[in-house]
Amino acid sequence: MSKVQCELCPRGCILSPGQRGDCRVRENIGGELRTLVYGKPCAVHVDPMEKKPLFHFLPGAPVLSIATAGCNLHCRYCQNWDISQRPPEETNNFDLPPEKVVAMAVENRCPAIAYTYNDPVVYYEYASDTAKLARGKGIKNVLVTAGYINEEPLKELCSLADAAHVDLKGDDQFYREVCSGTLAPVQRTIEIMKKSGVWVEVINLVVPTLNDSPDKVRWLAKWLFDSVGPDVPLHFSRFHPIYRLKNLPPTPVDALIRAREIAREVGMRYVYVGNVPGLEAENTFCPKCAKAVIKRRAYFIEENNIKNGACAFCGEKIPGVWKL
Amino acid sequence: MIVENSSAKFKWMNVRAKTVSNLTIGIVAVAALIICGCERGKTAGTSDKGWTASPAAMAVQTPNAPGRESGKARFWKTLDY
Repeated sequence: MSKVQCELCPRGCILSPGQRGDCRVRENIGGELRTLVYGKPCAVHVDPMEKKPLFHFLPGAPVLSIATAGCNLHCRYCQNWDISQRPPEETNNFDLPPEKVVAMAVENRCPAIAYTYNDPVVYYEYASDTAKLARGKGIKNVLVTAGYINEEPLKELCSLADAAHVDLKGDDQFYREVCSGTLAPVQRTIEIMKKSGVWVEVINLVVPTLNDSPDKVRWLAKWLFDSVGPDVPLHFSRFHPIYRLKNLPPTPVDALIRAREIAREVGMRYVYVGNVPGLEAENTFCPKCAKAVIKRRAYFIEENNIKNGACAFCGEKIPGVWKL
Repeated sequence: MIVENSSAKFKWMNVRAKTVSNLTIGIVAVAALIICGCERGKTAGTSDKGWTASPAAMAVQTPNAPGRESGKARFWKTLDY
Protein backbone atom coordinates (compact mmCIF):
# COMPACT_ATOMS: atom_id res chain seq x y z
CA MET A 1 0.00 0.00 0.00
CA SER A 2 1.28 3.45 -0.91
CA LYS A 3 1.93 6.66 0.85
CA VAL A 4 -0.29 9.55 -0.18
CA GLN A 5 0.16 13.31 -0.11
CA CYS A 6 -2.79 15.53 0.71
CA GLU A 7 -2.93 18.55 -1.60
CA LEU A 8 -5.83 20.33 0.03
CA CYS A 9 -3.89 22.75 2.20
CA PRO A 10 -0.38 24.21 2.26
CA ARG A 11 0.77 21.65 4.81
CA GLY A 12 0.88 18.93 2.16
CA CYS A 13 0.86 16.09 4.71
CA ILE A 14 2.57 12.91 3.52
CA LEU A 15 0.77 9.95 5.04
CA SER A 16 1.63 6.28 5.31
CA PRO A 17 -1.29 3.83 5.48
CA GLY A 18 -3.10 4.35 8.79
CA GLN A 19 -1.66 7.82 9.31
CA ARG A 20 -3.82 10.89 9.71
CA GLY A 21 -3.17 14.42 8.51
CA ASP A 22 -2.31 17.35 10.72
CA CYS A 23 -6.02 18.26 10.59
CA ARG A 24 -6.91 14.96 12.35
CA VAL A 25 -9.77 14.26 9.93
CA ARG A 26 -8.11 12.97 6.73
CA GLU A 27 -6.50 9.56 6.76
CA ASN A 28 -4.64 7.22 4.45
CA ILE A 29 -6.87 4.15 4.50
CA GLY A 30 -5.50 1.34 2.36
CA GLY A 31 -3.49 3.67 0.14
CA GLU A 32 -6.40 6.04 -0.44
CA LEU A 33 -7.00 9.39 1.27
CA ARG A 34 -10.35 9.40 3.04
CA THR A 35 -12.21 12.08 4.96
CA LEU A 36 -13.53 10.98 8.35
CA VAL A 37 -16.06 13.78 8.80
CA TYR A 38 -18.19 13.61 5.65
CA GLY A 39 -21.81 14.08 6.76
CA LYS A 40 -20.82 14.11 10.43
CA PRO A 41 -21.01 17.60 11.85
CA CYS A 42 -20.52 17.99 15.58
CA ALA A 43 -22.19 21.42 15.76
CA VAL A 44 -25.46 22.43 14.11
CA HIS A 45 -27.00 25.75 15.09
CA VAL A 46 -29.16 28.47 13.68
CA ASP A 47 -27.24 31.73 14.22
CA PRO A 48 -27.89 35.32 13.22
CA MET A 49 -25.67 36.42 10.32
CA GLU A 50 -24.09 38.98 12.66
CA LYS A 51 -22.58 36.16 14.70
CA LYS A 52 -20.34 34.98 11.86
CA PRO A 53 -19.75 38.02 11.89
CA LEU A 54 -20.91 39.25 8.50
CA PHE A 55 -22.20 42.83 8.69
CA HIS A 56 -22.72 43.59 5.00
CA PHE A 57 -24.41 40.35 3.96
CA LEU A 58 -28.15 39.74 4.49
CA PRO A 59 -28.31 41.60 7.82
CA GLY A 60 -30.40 39.90 10.47
CA ALA A 61 -30.89 36.72 8.45
CA PRO A 62 -30.85 33.39 10.29
CA VAL A 63 -28.12 31.14 8.99
CA LEU A 64 -27.86 27.39 9.49
CA SER A 65 -24.33 26.85 10.75
CA ILE A 66 -22.45 23.57 10.70
CA ALA A 67 -19.01 22.39 11.77
CA THR A 68 -17.10 19.16 12.16
CA ALA A 69 -14.12 18.16 14.27
CA GLY A 70 -10.60 19.12 13.21
CA CYS A 71 -8.62 22.06 11.87
CA ASN A 72 -5.46 22.55 9.84
CA LEU A 73 -4.26 25.42 12.06
CA HIS A 74 -3.56 25.16 15.78
CA CYS A 75 -4.09 28.64 17.16
CA ARG A 76 -3.14 28.83 20.81
CA TYR A 77 -6.19 31.01 21.50
CA CYS A 78 -8.77 29.04 19.50
CA GLN A 79 -12.24 29.84 20.80
CA ASN A 80 -13.56 26.52 19.48
CA TRP A 81 -10.59 24.37 20.43
CA ASP A 82 -12.82 21.68 21.92
CA ILE A 83 -13.94 20.71 18.43
CA SER A 84 -11.19 22.12 16.22
CA GLN A 85 -8.30 20.49 18.04
CA ARG A 86 -9.92 17.08 18.37
CA PRO A 87 -10.37 14.06 16.11
CA PRO A 88 -13.93 13.05 15.19
CA GLU A 89 -13.88 10.19 17.70
CA GLU A 90 -13.76 12.73 20.52
CA THR A 91 -16.72 14.89 19.50
CA ASN A 92 -20.45 14.18 19.59
CA ASN A 93 -21.40 13.92 15.96
CA PHE A 94 -24.66 14.12 14.07
CA ASP A 95 -25.48 11.95 11.12
CA LEU A 96 -26.34 14.67 8.65
CA PRO A 97 -25.58 14.12 4.95
CA PRO A 98 -25.64 17.15 2.61
CA GLU A 99 -29.25 16.69 1.55
CA LYS A 100 -30.37 16.72 5.18
CA VAL A 101 -28.42 19.91 5.86
CA VAL A 102 -30.18 21.64 2.98
CA ALA A 103 -33.57 20.28 4.07
CA MET A 104 -32.89 21.57 7.57
CA ALA A 105 -32.07 25.04 6.21
CA VAL A 106 -35.35 25.06 4.29
CA GLU A 107 -37.29 23.79 7.29
CA ASN A 108 -35.81 26.49 9.53
CA ARG A 109 -36.31 29.19 6.89
CA CYS A 110 -32.62 29.96 6.69
CA PRO A 111 -31.67 31.78 3.48
CA ALA A 112 -28.04 30.75 4.00
CA ILE A 113 -25.84 27.92 5.26
CA ALA A 114 -22.57 28.77 7.01
CA TYR A 115 -19.62 26.39 7.08
CA THR A 116 -18.04 27.61 10.25
CA TYR A 117 -16.79 27.15 13.86
CA ASN A 118 -13.80 24.97 13.00
CA ASP A 119 -12.87 25.46 9.32
CA PRO A 120 -14.65 24.28 6.17
CA VAL A 121 -11.24 23.59 4.59
CA VAL A 122 -10.90 20.38 6.60
CA TYR A 123 -14.37 19.17 5.65
CA TYR A 124 -13.98 20.35 2.09
CA GLU A 125 -15.86 17.52 0.38
CA TYR A 126 -18.81 17.71 2.78
CA ALA A 127 -19.01 21.52 2.54
CA SER A 128 -18.69 21.56 -1.21
CA ASP A 129 -21.33 18.85 -1.83
CA THR A 130 -23.70 20.62 0.57
CA ALA A 131 -23.04 23.97 -1.09
CA LYS A 132 -23.87 22.56 -4.52
CA LEU A 133 -27.22 21.26 -3.28
CA ALA A 134 -27.92 24.48 -1.40
CA ARG A 135 -27.29 26.60 -4.45
CA GLY A 136 -29.77 24.47 -6.37
CA LYS A 137 -32.40 25.40 -3.79
CA GLY A 138 -31.54 29.11 -3.89
CA ILE A 139 -29.79 29.02 -0.52
CA LYS A 140 -26.63 31.12 -0.12
CA ASN A 141 -23.34 29.63 1.05
CA VAL A 142 -21.16 31.36 3.64
CA LEU A 143 -17.60 30.28 4.44
CA VAL A 144 -16.12 31.22 7.79
CA THR A 145 -12.50 30.27 7.40
CA ALA A 146 -8.88 30.92 8.24
CA GLY A 147 -8.22 30.63 4.52
CA TYR A 148 -5.36 28.15 4.86
CA ILE A 149 -5.99 26.28 1.63
CA ASN A 150 -4.30 25.59 -1.69
CA GLU A 151 -5.21 27.53 -4.79
CA GLU A 152 -6.96 24.83 -6.85
CA PRO A 153 -9.44 23.64 -4.21
CA LEU A 154 -10.02 27.25 -3.17
CA LYS A 155 -11.00 28.36 -6.67
CA GLU A 156 -13.48 25.51 -6.91
CA LEU A 157 -14.97 26.38 -3.53
CA CYS A 158 -15.23 30.06 -4.52
CA SER A 159 -17.48 29.08 -7.41
CA LEU A 160 -19.99 27.82 -4.82
CA ALA A 161 -19.59 30.50 -2.14
CA ASP A 162 -21.62 33.69 -1.90
CA ALA A 163 -19.85 35.21 1.08
CA ALA A 164 -16.77 34.54 3.15
CA HIS A 165 -15.53 35.69 6.45
CA VAL A 166 -11.76 35.24 6.53
CA ASP A 167 -9.54 35.40 9.56
CA LEU A 168 -6.38 37.45 8.98
CA LYS A 169 -4.65 36.72 12.23
CA GLY A 170 -1.48 38.78 12.09
CA ASP A 171 1.91 38.90 10.40
CA ASP A 172 3.96 35.87 9.35
CA GLN A 173 5.72 35.67 12.71
CA PHE A 174 2.35 35.53 14.46
CA TYR A 175 1.16 32.74 12.17
CA ARG A 176 4.31 30.71 12.78
CA GLU A 177 4.50 31.22 16.54
CA VAL A 178 0.85 31.24 17.56
CA CYS A 179 -1.02 29.33 14.84
CA SER A 180 1.48 26.78 13.42
CA GLY A 181 0.92 28.21 9.95
CA THR A 182 2.16 30.84 7.52
CA LEU A 183 0.72 34.11 6.29
CA ALA A 184 1.16 33.98 2.50
CA PRO A 185 -1.56 31.36 1.73
CA VAL A 186 -4.10 33.37 3.73
CA GLN A 187 -3.30 36.56 1.84
CA ARG A 188 -3.65 34.66 -1.44
CA THR A 189 -7.02 33.30 -0.30
CA ILE A 190 -8.39 36.76 0.47
CA GLU A 191 -7.25 38.08 -2.90
CA ILE A 192 -8.63 35.11 -4.86
CA MET A 193 -11.98 35.26 -3.07
CA LYS A 194 -12.33 38.96 -3.77
CA LYS A 195 -11.42 38.50 -7.44
CA SER A 196 -13.91 35.60 -7.70
CA GLY A 197 -16.78 37.87 -6.73
CA VAL A 198 -17.36 36.32 -3.31
CA TRP A 199 -18.49 38.91 -0.74
CA VAL A 200 -15.53 39.07 1.66
CA GLU A 201 -15.22 40.41 5.20
CA VAL A 202 -12.04 40.09 7.26
CA ILE A 203 -11.61 39.60 10.98
CA ASN A 204 -8.59 40.12 13.18
CA LEU A 205 -8.65 38.87 16.75
CA VAL A 206 -6.58 41.37 18.69
CA VAL A 207 -4.45 39.47 21.20
CA PRO A 208 -2.70 41.56 23.87
CA THR A 209 1.10 41.69 23.44
CA LEU A 210 1.07 39.41 20.37
CA ASN A 211 -0.57 41.33 17.51
CA ASP A 212 -1.93 44.52 19.09
CA SER A 213 0.90 46.96 18.49
CA PRO A 214 -0.05 50.00 16.38
CA ASP A 215 2.60 49.06 13.81
CA LYS A 216 1.18 45.58 13.34
CA VAL A 217 -2.38 46.87 13.12
CA ARG A 218 -1.32 49.51 10.60
CA TRP A 219 0.51 46.92 8.51
CA LEU A 220 -2.57 44.67 8.43
CA ALA A 221 -4.95 47.47 7.47
CA LYS A 222 -2.53 48.79 4.84
CA TRP A 223 -2.18 45.35 3.27
CA LEU A 224 -5.96 45.03 3.04
CA PHE A 225 -6.33 48.54 1.63
CA ASP A 226 -3.70 47.91 -1.05
CA SER A 227 -4.79 44.37 -1.94
CA VAL A 228 -8.58 44.28 -1.80
CA GLY A 229 -9.53 47.92 -1.35
CA PRO A 230 -11.15 50.13 1.26
CA ASP A 231 -14.64 48.64 1.02
CA VAL A 232 -13.87 45.23 2.50
CA PRO A 233 -15.31 45.33 6.04
CA LEU A 234 -12.67 44.78 8.71
CA HIS A 235 -13.61 43.50 12.17
CA PHE A 236 -11.31 43.84 15.17
CA SER A 237 -12.47 41.30 17.68
CA ARG A 238 -11.83 41.09 21.41
CA PHE A 239 -9.72 38.20 22.68
CA HIS A 240 -10.82 36.26 25.77
CA PRO A 241 -8.29 34.08 27.61
CA ILE A 242 -8.88 30.49 26.55
CA TYR A 243 -7.17 27.24 25.59
CA ARG A 244 -3.39 27.77 25.66
CA LEU A 245 -3.38 31.53 26.14
CA LYS A 246 -5.09 31.72 29.50
CA ASN A 247 -2.13 33.67 30.81
CA LEU A 248 -3.08 36.76 28.80
CA PRO A 249 -5.77 39.28 29.80
CA PRO A 250 -8.81 40.06 27.63
CA THR A 251 -8.09 42.73 25.04
CA PRO A 252 -8.61 46.17 26.58
CA VAL A 253 -11.48 47.95 24.83
CA ASP A 254 -9.20 50.97 24.28
CA ALA A 255 -6.83 48.81 22.23
CA LEU A 256 -9.70 47.76 19.97
CA ILE A 257 -10.88 51.32 19.52
CA ARG A 258 -7.32 52.39 18.75
CA ALA A 259 -7.01 49.59 16.17
CA ARG A 260 -10.20 50.79 14.52
CA GLU A 261 -8.92 54.36 14.38
CA ILE A 262 -5.66 53.23 12.80
CA ALA A 263 -7.47 51.21 10.13
CA ARG A 264 -9.71 54.17 9.35
CA GLU A 265 -6.67 56.45 9.10
CA VAL A 266 -5.20 54.03 6.58
CA GLY A 267 -8.38 54.42 4.53
CA MET A 268 -10.54 51.39 5.36
CA ARG A 269 -14.13 52.61 5.26
CA TYR A 270 -16.01 49.98 7.24
CA VAL A 271 -14.18 49.02 10.42
CA TYR A 272 -15.91 47.33 13.35
CA VAL A 273 -15.15 46.25 16.88
CA GLY A 274 -16.53 42.86 17.88
CA ASN A 275 -17.12 40.93 21.11
CA VAL A 276 -17.84 44.19 22.98
CA PRO A 277 -21.62 44.73 22.87
CA GLY A 278 -22.87 48.28 23.13
CA LEU A 279 -20.02 50.09 21.37
CA GLU A 280 -20.75 52.58 18.62
CA ALA A 281 -18.18 50.69 16.56
CA GLU A 282 -20.73 47.89 16.03
CA ASN A 283 -22.70 50.21 13.72
CA THR A 284 -22.27 50.79 10.03
CA PHE A 285 -21.72 54.46 9.22
CA CYS A 286 -22.26 56.03 5.84
CA PRO A 287 -18.84 57.20 4.60
CA LYS A 288 -20.45 60.25 2.97
CA CYS A 289 -22.92 61.69 5.52
CA ALA A 290 -21.49 59.84 8.58
CA LYS A 291 -24.95 58.80 9.79
CA ALA A 292 -25.52 55.31 11.20
CA VAL A 293 -27.08 53.30 8.40
CA ILE A 294 -27.24 50.10 10.44
CA LYS A 295 -27.40 50.18 14.23
CA ARG A 296 -26.52 46.92 15.97
CA ARG A 297 -26.30 45.60 19.47
CA ALA A 298 -24.36 42.33 19.82
CA TYR A 299 -25.93 40.04 17.23
CA PHE A 300 -29.07 42.03 16.70
CA ILE A 301 -30.12 44.78 14.31
CA GLU A 302 -31.71 47.75 16.04
CA GLU A 303 -32.14 49.94 12.98
CA ASN A 304 -31.57 49.42 9.26
CA ASN A 305 -31.44 52.55 7.13
CA ILE A 306 -30.23 50.97 3.93
CA LYS A 307 -32.62 51.31 1.03
CA ASN A 308 -31.85 49.67 -2.31
CA GLY A 309 -28.25 49.17 -1.28
CA ALA A 310 -27.74 52.83 -0.42
CA CYS A 311 -27.79 55.14 2.59
CA ALA A 312 -31.40 56.22 3.22
CA PHE A 313 -30.17 59.67 4.35
CA CYS A 314 -27.90 60.73 1.48
CA GLY A 315 -28.15 58.02 -1.18
CA GLU A 316 -24.50 56.93 -0.98
CA LYS A 317 -24.08 53.33 -2.15
CA ILE A 318 -23.08 51.02 0.71
CA PRO A 319 -21.20 47.95 -0.55
CA GLY A 320 -22.67 44.61 0.46
CA VAL A 321 -25.38 42.08 -0.29
CA TRP A 322 -28.46 43.49 1.37
CA LYS A 323 -31.23 41.40 -0.13
CA LEU A 324 -31.66 37.89 -1.47
CA MET B 1 -65.23 38.80 66.53
CA ILE B 2 -64.48 40.91 63.55
CA VAL B 3 -60.90 41.23 64.66
CA GLU B 4 -60.60 37.47 65.10
CA ASN B 5 -62.12 36.87 61.67
CA SER B 6 -59.78 39.39 60.08
CA SER B 7 -56.86 37.80 61.84
CA ALA B 8 -57.88 34.36 60.65
CA LYS B 9 -58.34 35.67 57.15
CA PHE B 10 -54.94 37.38 57.32
CA LYS B 11 -53.27 34.17 58.54
CA TRP B 12 -54.93 32.19 55.76
CA MET B 13 -53.87 34.76 53.16
CA ASN B 14 -50.37 34.71 54.58
CA VAL B 15 -50.21 30.93 54.28
CA ARG B 16 -51.60 31.16 50.76
CA ALA B 17 -49.06 33.83 49.84
CA LYS B 18 -46.24 31.64 51.14
CA THR B 19 -47.58 28.67 49.19
CA VAL B 20 -47.82 30.75 46.01
CA SER B 21 -44.32 32.11 46.63
CA ASN B 22 -42.87 28.62 47.11
CA LEU B 23 -44.72 27.40 44.04
CA THR B 24 -43.30 30.29 42.00
CA ILE B 25 -39.78 29.55 43.15
CA GLY B 26 -40.30 25.88 42.32
CA ILE B 27 -41.65 26.63 38.85
CA VAL B 28 -38.82 29.06 38.10
CA ALA B 29 -36.23 26.55 39.34
CA VAL B 30 -37.67 23.72 37.20
CA ALA B 31 -37.86 26.04 34.17
CA ALA B 32 -34.25 27.11 34.71
CA LEU B 33 -33.14 23.47 34.91
CA ILE B 34 -35.01 22.64 31.70
CA ILE B 35 -33.61 25.68 29.88
CA CYS B 36 -30.05 24.97 31.06
CA GLY B 37 -30.42 21.34 30.06
CA CYS B 38 -31.64 22.29 26.59
CA GLU B 39 -28.86 24.85 26.22
CA ARG B 40 -26.27 22.25 27.10
CA GLY B 41 -27.82 19.74 24.75
CA LYS B 42 -27.96 22.02 21.78
CA THR B 43 -24.34 23.12 22.09
CA ALA B 44 -22.94 19.69 22.73
CA GLY B 45 -19.43 19.41 21.44
CA THR B 46 -18.74 23.11 21.01
CA SER B 47 -17.98 26.08 23.17
CA ASP B 48 -19.69 28.37 20.73
CA LYS B 49 -23.15 28.88 22.16
CA GLY B 50 -25.95 28.69 19.64
CA TRP B 51 -28.49 31.43 19.27
CA THR B 52 -31.40 29.06 18.75
CA ALA B 53 -31.33 25.33 18.35
CA SER B 54 -33.04 23.57 15.57
CA PRO B 55 -35.33 20.85 16.94
CA ALA B 56 -34.51 18.89 13.83
CA ALA B 57 -30.82 19.11 14.72
CA MET B 58 -31.52 17.70 18.13
CA ALA B 59 -33.54 14.86 16.65
CA VAL B 60 -30.72 13.60 14.47
CA GLN B 61 -28.02 13.67 17.12
CA THR B 62 -26.20 10.38 17.37
CA PRO B 63 -23.48 10.83 19.98
CA ASN B 64 -20.13 9.53 18.88
CA ALA B 65 -21.25 8.35 15.48
CA PRO B 66 -18.32 6.20 14.38
CA GLY B 67 -15.47 8.38 13.18
CA ARG B 68 -13.98 5.51 11.22
CA GLU B 69 -16.73 5.65 8.63
CA SER B 70 -15.23 7.68 5.87
CA GLY B 71 -15.86 9.33 2.55
CA LYS B 72 -13.51 9.61 -0.38
CA ALA B 73 -11.30 12.68 -0.15
CA ARG B 74 -10.28 14.87 -3.06
CA PHE B 75 -7.03 16.73 -3.76
CA TRP B 76 -4.39 14.14 -3.02
CA LYS B 77 -1.87 12.03 -4.91
CA THR B 78 -0.19 8.68 -4.48
CA LEU B 79 3.53 8.83 -3.83
CA ASP B 80 5.53 6.15 -5.63
CA TYR B 81 8.96 5.48 -4.23
